[in-house]
Amino acid sequence: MGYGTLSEATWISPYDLTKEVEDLVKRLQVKDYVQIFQAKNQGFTDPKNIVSIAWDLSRIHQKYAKDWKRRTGGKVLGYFCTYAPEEVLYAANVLPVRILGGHEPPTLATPHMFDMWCPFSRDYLNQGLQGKYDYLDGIMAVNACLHPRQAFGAWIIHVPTPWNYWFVMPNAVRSPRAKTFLRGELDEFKKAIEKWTGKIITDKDLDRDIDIMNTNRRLMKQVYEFRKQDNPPITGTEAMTMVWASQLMDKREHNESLKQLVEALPAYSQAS
Amino acid sequence: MKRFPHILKLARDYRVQGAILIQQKFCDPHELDIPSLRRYLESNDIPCYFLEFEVTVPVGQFRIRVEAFMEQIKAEVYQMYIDMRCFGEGYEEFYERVSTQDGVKFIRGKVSKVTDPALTDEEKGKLIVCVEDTLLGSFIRVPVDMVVLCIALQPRADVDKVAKVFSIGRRADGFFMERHVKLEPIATLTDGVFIAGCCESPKDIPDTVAQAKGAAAEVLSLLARGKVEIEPIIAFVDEEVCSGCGLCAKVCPFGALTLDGKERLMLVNRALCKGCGACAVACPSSAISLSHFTPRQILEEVEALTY
Repeated sequence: MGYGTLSEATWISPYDLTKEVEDLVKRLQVKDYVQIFQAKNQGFTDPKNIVSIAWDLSRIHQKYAKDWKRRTGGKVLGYFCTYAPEEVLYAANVLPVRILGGHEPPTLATPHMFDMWCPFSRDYLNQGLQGKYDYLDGIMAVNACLHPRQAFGAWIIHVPTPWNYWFVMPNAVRSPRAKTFLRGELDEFKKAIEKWTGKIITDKDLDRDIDIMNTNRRLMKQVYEFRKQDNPPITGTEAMTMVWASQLMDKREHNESLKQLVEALPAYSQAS
Repeated sequence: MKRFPHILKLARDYRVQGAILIQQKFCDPHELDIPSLRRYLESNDIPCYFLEFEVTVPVGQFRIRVEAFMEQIKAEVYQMYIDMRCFGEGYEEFYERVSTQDGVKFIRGKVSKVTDPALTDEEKGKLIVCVEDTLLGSFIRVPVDMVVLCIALQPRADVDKVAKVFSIGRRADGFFMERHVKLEPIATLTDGVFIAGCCESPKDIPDTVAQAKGAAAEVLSLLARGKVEIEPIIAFVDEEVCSGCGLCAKVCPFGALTLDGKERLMLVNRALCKGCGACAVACPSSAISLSHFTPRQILEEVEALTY
């Protein structure tokens, strides 16, 4: 994450980066001229506002994904809407990133999709055409609905993305054949991912990643329990940001943050 | 657990006091069960608010609507007041004068009856006004020599005749209707006819004068222009077909149709007609149609679209 610019000559960071700064100073051989202070925020504004001044929060996921690629050497895959089998992707060291709403009029999508179609689907395509997701190594969508299908079709033609996959999810989920069907589709998907990444996915990998997903859901449910209190220590917006982040971040890192949050929240509820 | 009871359980767990149902425009799967879900929640005492969402819908508009919904859920409105004041220039001073210098006594309450059987010597030979003073919280009797009933203002008795002559619409309370309550408070639906004063609504002298001056200015601007542009789409009568029954004249809101008694056919006043088409619908023999919008033209258009 590094530093964000709060104002001229003032940089802030969400982490303690003293060591990094020391290393940098040493490397540049300017140690004798540098003084390091650590400051504490005493007020008066909401820390969230400070963060939003220093970082463009609506674009921060791009920065995160690019950094994640650099750190892990993995691939980043964008997906539309729901049902992307994240466990299989994690097993091949692929970070699934959900394409969220851009909240802009989807003008660029107009030549490819009728204006009366689902605005959310048009918005996916619009953001793709704007080049907001140029860092993606692949794109996938699930046939939950026809409208994203159209957006996906236009995306793979007009938005240069190295790899793409159309995942078929059974629509009649209660049918007795649905599970067998889905299993077959997951097998196909696993093979395609193995071919794309060159990594063989073992059952052990899958078990580990299923556990990561379940841990993530369990921890978020724990946070949600706090929302039932009379004066919840976490607001609705904060809870929603948490869910968004889980769809954009590496869930292993998200889980670590969640664990800290679950530990810290009881103190907050007493204070409030 | 089925979906609806599950949603209700969540709502109860989180002690939800109101629900906002947001629908993505054109999302049929999303749309399908919203009406039943809404009914279900409302029957379980959770008020609902429906928002239809488009990517282009500005967030600000939603914020206002959601805030209004939250206000509605709270729904306890208090108006704390010290005193009611008068509206209009000089009225506050007038109120001040009558209540202090002129010694008029204001009693907050509704008169229940005016009667004459006297209970005390003071009341003998007088009219007695019975009223509850709601500020004191007590019932009082006021002996007076004369009672003046102050009734609400009504339109004049001949208002319907005047309205007919000038083709002016009327509101439910009988007063003349302006073209638009905010943007056209002086013009009427008939071009060139303007209204001012108490024929439009009860008002005082300064307001009447202001409205009359506004009406004069409207008229002057018409006169200064020297000519009037009219709608090209107006009614015309097929003289071969018209039998002069006069049904069209009855439905015309602008008084643009008159009967030529000698020829037994209808005449269109091309300056008054607004091309609304009511006459064309009413005509039993289809003798009236709108120029540039004849039935044949419309049918051809429909055919071209559906072909």
